[in-house]
Amino acid sequence: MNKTTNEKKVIIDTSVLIAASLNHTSNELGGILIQDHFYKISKPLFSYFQKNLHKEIGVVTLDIENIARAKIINAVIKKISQLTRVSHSQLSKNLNNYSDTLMYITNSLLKNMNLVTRIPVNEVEIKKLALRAHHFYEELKTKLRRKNPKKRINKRAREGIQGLKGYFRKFAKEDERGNIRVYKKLLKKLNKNPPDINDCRILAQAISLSKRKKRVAILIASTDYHFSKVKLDADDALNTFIPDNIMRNFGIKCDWPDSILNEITK
Amino acid sequence: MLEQINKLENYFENMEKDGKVDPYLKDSLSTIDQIRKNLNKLDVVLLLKKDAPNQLFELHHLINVNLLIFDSMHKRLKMVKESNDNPKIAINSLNVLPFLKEGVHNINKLRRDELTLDLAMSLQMVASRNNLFHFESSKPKKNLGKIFGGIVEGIDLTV
Repeated sequence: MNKTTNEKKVIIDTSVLIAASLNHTSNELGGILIQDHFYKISKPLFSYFQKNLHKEIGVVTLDIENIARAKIINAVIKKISQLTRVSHSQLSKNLNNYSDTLMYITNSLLKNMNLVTRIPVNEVEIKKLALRAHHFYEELKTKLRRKNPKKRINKRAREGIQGLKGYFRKFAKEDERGNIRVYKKLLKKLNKNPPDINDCRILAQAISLSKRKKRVAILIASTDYHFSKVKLDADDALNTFIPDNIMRNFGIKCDWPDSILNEITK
Repeated sequence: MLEQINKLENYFENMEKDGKVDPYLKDSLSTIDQIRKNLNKLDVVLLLKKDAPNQLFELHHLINVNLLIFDSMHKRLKMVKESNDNPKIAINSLNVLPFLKEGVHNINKLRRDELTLDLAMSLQMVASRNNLFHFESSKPKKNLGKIFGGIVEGIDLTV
């Protein structure tokens, strides 16, 4: 961490706010099993905030709250859209069940939001910084392309002993096998699912907070791969290219909520 | 219904200002009863419409949230003397009424827009913060759990 300080603030990204809230709802509804690992690792961070409310470690912005609600609404609407038109009484029963479920989810969201502090943002500054964040992500793609191991493989083959260039290429390919897979996959992922305006704004808000609070280390707790490490394939190791670059460029540590919890309780 | 809510707003303003409940209690309770009746009627009309289920749901959920808030308001008003809840009930209600008005404005027209569900969720949160939203579903948790599981499936936490 660039800043030499003990004080830390954790920006709770939408993904973690939703995960912890759905985990809470699951318990309210009798411990419905939700398989995703992220639901389990998000809860302890909020339990820590609850025990340390006075420290106001967890922060959100209005944007984060709005996006969290929007994501939940989209998931609910998507599900209800699949309901075929049934009898009036059946439809009314179904809609009531959905309504009650959404009330439980909203209640959980509110409970978690009460454990964090909503910080104000300067909209003019955020717009500028969001543009900077957008450029940052674009540069990441260029960087990734440059890091493509193909060039290094070609170079090693070119510089190999005459007559044995084929072997040199083979060895280089062998050495870079993991890199070829990872960089291709990450680039493909970034092209297929680029960071949207919301991601850029959240990063912008973190940069802004970091600038305002010079003596405080700013962290982002997120499971979104636009901020945090990501498993590109089931058999791959976790890739930290994006969070490493966010740290290098903006001095902001981004990680999954369990790692962030370790970081703030060190 | 907006007129009734305006009336209610006046009663609460007076309760807070005068520090008295008695001159306004009976009227405010009956106004809430009327609003609840109207909301229930509109819900019946809504569910008879041939709109797509997701469109019906948005307003139906907003009506349900409104009803629960008016239920809480009614309960607190009925107990106001015993629990010494004035002016707190008046202040809490005055915090929530502007949002209720916005909701009722949509409900009256039976017209939804893309922000209807967001308004319903925000309304529930504001009301909860003002101790005007108490909810425990009467439906079996097993049924709701199934629905909840379906909703969770639709959320990707990595993007």
